[in-house]
Amino acid sequence: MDRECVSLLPRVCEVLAASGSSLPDDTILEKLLDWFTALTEAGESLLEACPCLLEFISAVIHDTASAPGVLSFTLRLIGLLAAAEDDFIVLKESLVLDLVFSCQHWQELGLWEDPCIRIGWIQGLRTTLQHPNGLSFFRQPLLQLQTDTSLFVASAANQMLAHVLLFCQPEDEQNTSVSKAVVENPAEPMEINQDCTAVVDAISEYLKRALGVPKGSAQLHQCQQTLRLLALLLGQTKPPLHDKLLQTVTASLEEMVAADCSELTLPLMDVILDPDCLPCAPDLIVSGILSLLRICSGDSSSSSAGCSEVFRNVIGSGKVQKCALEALTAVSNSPGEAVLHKSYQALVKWMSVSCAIDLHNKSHCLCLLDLVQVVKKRACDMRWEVRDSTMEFLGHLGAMRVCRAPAEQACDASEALLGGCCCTTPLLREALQDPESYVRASAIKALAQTVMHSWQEGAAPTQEQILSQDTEGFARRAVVKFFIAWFSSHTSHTPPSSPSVRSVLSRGCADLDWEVKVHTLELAELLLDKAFLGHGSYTKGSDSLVEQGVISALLSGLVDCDRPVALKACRLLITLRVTVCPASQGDPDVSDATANAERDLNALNATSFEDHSEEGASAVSHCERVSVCEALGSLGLDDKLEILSRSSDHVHNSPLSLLQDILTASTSHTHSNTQPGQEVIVDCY
Amino acid sequence: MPEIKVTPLGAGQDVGRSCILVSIGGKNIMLDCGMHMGYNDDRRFPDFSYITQNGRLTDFLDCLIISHFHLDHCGALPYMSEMVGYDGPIYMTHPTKAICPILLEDFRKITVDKKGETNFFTSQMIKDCMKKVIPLNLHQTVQVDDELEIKAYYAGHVLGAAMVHIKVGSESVVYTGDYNMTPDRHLGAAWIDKCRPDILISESTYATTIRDSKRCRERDFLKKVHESIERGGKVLIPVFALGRAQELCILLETFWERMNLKAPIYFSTGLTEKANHYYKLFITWTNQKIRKTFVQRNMFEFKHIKAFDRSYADNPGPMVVFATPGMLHAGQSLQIFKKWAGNEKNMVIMPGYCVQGTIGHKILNGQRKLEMEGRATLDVKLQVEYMSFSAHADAKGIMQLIRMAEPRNMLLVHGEAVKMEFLKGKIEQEFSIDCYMPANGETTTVTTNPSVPVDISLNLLKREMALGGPLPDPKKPRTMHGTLIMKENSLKLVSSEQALKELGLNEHQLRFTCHVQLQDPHSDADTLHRIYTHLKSVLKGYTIQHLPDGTVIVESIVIKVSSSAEDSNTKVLLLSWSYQVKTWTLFLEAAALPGVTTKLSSRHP
Repeated sequence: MDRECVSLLPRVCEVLAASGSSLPDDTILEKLLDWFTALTEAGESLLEACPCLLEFISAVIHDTASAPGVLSFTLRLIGLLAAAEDDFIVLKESLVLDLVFSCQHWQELGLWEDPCIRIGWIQGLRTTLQHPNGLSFFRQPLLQLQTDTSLFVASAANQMLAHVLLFCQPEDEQNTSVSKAVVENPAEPMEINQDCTAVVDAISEYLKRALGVPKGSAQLHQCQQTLRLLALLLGQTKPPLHDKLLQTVTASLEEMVAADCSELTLPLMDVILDPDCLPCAPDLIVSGILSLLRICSGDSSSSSAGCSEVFRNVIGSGKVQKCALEALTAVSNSPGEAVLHKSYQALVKWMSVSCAIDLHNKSHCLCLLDLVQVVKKRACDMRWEVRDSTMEFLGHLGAMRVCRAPAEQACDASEALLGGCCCTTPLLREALQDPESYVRASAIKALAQTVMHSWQEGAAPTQEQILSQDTEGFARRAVVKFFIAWFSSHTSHTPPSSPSVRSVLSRGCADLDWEVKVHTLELAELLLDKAFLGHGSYTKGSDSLVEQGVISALLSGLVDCDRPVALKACRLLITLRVTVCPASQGDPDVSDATANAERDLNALNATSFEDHSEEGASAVSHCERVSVCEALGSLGLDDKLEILSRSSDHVHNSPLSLLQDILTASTSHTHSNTQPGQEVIVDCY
Repeated sequence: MPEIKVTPLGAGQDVGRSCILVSIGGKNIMLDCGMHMGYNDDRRFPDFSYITQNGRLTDFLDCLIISHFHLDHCGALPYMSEMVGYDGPIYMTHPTKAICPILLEDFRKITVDKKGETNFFTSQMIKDCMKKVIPLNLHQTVQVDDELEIKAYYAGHVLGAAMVHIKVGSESVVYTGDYNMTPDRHLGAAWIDKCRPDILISESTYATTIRDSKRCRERDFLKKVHESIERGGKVLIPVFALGRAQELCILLETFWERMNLKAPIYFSTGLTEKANHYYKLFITWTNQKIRKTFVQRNMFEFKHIKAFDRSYADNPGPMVVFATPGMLHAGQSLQIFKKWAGNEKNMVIMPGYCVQGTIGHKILNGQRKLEMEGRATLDVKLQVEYMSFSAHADAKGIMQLIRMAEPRNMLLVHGEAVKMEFLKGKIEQEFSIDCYMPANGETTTVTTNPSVPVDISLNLLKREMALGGPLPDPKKPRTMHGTLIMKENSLKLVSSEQALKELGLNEHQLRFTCHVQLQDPHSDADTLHRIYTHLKSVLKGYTIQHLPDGTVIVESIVIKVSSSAEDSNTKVLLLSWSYQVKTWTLFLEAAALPGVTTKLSSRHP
């Protein structure tokens, strides 16, 4: 533990113990517990490191005026401490455990009514149950708390019961975590095993009693809660216990299913349904869903007569359509949303898993014609949602490879389905002017997906224009990704046109949106890779990099005030250093003044540009390349990387900062009491 | 009895994220889906596993309604719809739908920029989520399904903020979200029909405050900014992109105009244009004054407020900058703060609450030395001011809304427990209604007494009047007899004949018979006569007939006597009656004849 923290903790404990209900922020106690938990997980004995905690605990639990929030925190802290067996013994000897885990104690104090005490009690107890000694504290009230009036308490009690049962269940037929502990600690095995059996019996007995067709709302609540517990348990327990549980409850479950009580449907489904088990063959499901969808859209030709009542309810029902499409996508595994969007998704998904499109098949052709019509119509819908989904659909199709039957070449799906660019390109180009930036971005993305076409080069100027003019980050981000897709699809190692590359890089790096900048650096990364792969020579490689403005992009990125940009640039510069610089120079003295190095490198970069413009494609001199290595070495990249890899608020979100905040808040609070009107009102954001 | 249940998952006795579950008439509705800024992990979102496990939220919830675009009311929306998998309807007003993604996107960028975050939603998720949103118009009743309907009302507070009236059958609930009962520079005051909901769920941020005059606060704000500018200082106002920032912009713009000030005012780039675009687009949602004057001059076309470029922060001379985020925990506002903190001429004005773990929180608590990255420290010499401009109803405003809506019960959320307690007392005293304030996770159950409207046929009324009953009077409830039929989802009370006709049914009469044995040595005729006399003496006021065919008739009851074949002293009484309550009573009284041994055996015809 940090020494500074250790030194602050006693005062913080004093402040907390005396705070009453005046804690400045409702998250601080949670954050303190997070910190203590992290320390325990790292193997520290908290009581040993901070003896003040024991005093704090004793002060809080014996003070009748302690705030419920602080008491609840203390209960959880005690649980955390008691989870370590050594600390458990200390706490047990000081009689703390017996006192705080007796709910009677809290009832007598009149504090049990407060749900946060009950939650603290349950959670404290739960963390205590990390080793078999804790089992002796298993208390019957837990079962009652399962139907507590507070949703949070009831849920915590359920979690706790599940935890206890799992704790007692045999692991891999050899050992329970309990029996393992018994082996390690053979002093009182009998007692522990008895505890364990007693606990399992008590819970099974409870399950049996609590389940059944409910009469009255109290019983209904108990049933619902118990079903939730059961779902939790069945999901986690292993064979012997799992089977035992099932045996215990099967009869009650059957009875409940038969009783058809609507309030129990959902929790019952949770128990009964096994998510991995499809009820019948996928083909059957698919054909079922398809006829359902046909009915939804008013086509009832294939239906039998008796169901007209059903049809009336199903025709035009968005809900049913959504579910059907969802099921359709789910059969091929993917999540989704509103009807059109879902249709597109389902279509894309299905194309990707199945069909070979046969253009000689008449019904296929008709179907495709329909699709073209729909897409054209939807591309100019009033609602941006519809236009956007349409653009996304085109993008997905563009990205997908399908086989045209029979034995034709593979092409992208938009070509196969929509007749390729003659249909889609005008739609996409039009969408570049869409008033809604989401749609513009999706159109750009879709253009980027249709990578095979020569017209892409023609689209580049438009894209550059968007990059420099669009007011929205989405569109500009998409443009940079467009260039990434385009450049990476080029087989040659030199990108299509250098002026374009340079201007994209320089514009991208100067963007206001840091994500545009990060994508620009991804583009730089691509260029880096290509340069070194292609030329096989450092000289030529770095040469083209300077020419394209990759180096200046990296350098400006490194000093960018947006952390992800600086981080990306730093990583790339390190890659560059590893590639360009011989090993002997790769590990230079990092204590060099970074600023100087940056200036040098910038100057160098500028000269290279001048050289380039005067002398055409001639190489930069050997001595300049060496100075690049020196400069790269002197940037202190490794130190920078370490700092940048951490969260930007790690200082202010650190435990030390938290402790300091608690102390400052307490003094400023006493201070503000003397100066009324200074209170910071908690309101919304 | 039917019940309405309200369970806050957030905003129960606190001002954290709002998320409230309502069960009404078999429907489950979630009100708001806010984010808590105080955490860096999943705890920032409501824990939906309390509602249902395995992500079956769509099966459980009938709809989700978002009151306004503040992140503590909508920040968890993409998490809920795209990560937890809720796929049901989501409702919000048009402006909220337009502005919500801007704020979510801004916050996402800041959060991801900061790093060290886990499990946060992406840009694509925000978009996909917004596509599912169904926009609401004010005062338009929207049918969520056959039974559930919702209606939005103007709430003030921020552009697009709405209160919502939720109705299932005759039961209803109103949720206010955040609201303001006094108009400000750009928004109007909240308003609602006298809809008499069963429960009014109201925010209570300023439950105990009678807010000091707004003018005072504004003057104070302008004075401070002005002083700082005059002495050549720079003023930083960290804000959340949209909302109260626009109010402050109007305030400064007007002041600059009036005082003819030259110092530049900047607003974080990218946000100004968009914000003002939407404020112009949704001009009907602003207050009357802005709506009236916008043809001559749109209040949101600021003359003095310009887009900010990062490099301007180093410009010499005074300036005012609005920058995001509002808690100084990352991004542009923090960068500017770091640059300006060392100069005592500068000032930072915090217009909102800051959570622990942010620089905003530290400086508001008076910390003057801030530890920075790499063991560096930052001396905070600039002036730190806190000025809340959030627009919530104060105690007076809340009481005013109760008077407007006339709820049967009151439920307070979005406030501090102690303050709520105080307001609760006041409400119960003044309005004599129950006031609840459930903590998070606690359920408040209110029993309702739904009145079901029933049409009564004219014929039935006429018949009732013909019988000499009083004329129908809504103030004097009385019993009426008839047949209740349900046709096309409406209820009608009609005469039984009409019911048969309307439903196309035939009438069947049910008669019951039974044999009662009794010992009587007299002849059959004498026994019958004795019964006749007895009944006459017991059942006064009834027509009792002794017919010559050996039958006694009382109302619909027919009595005959015969002797038993085995024993002439044993008489068998044949009783037959039609099924009517009145007749049944008579029969019981008759059966209670002294000395009559009853050995009832009944047989249905």
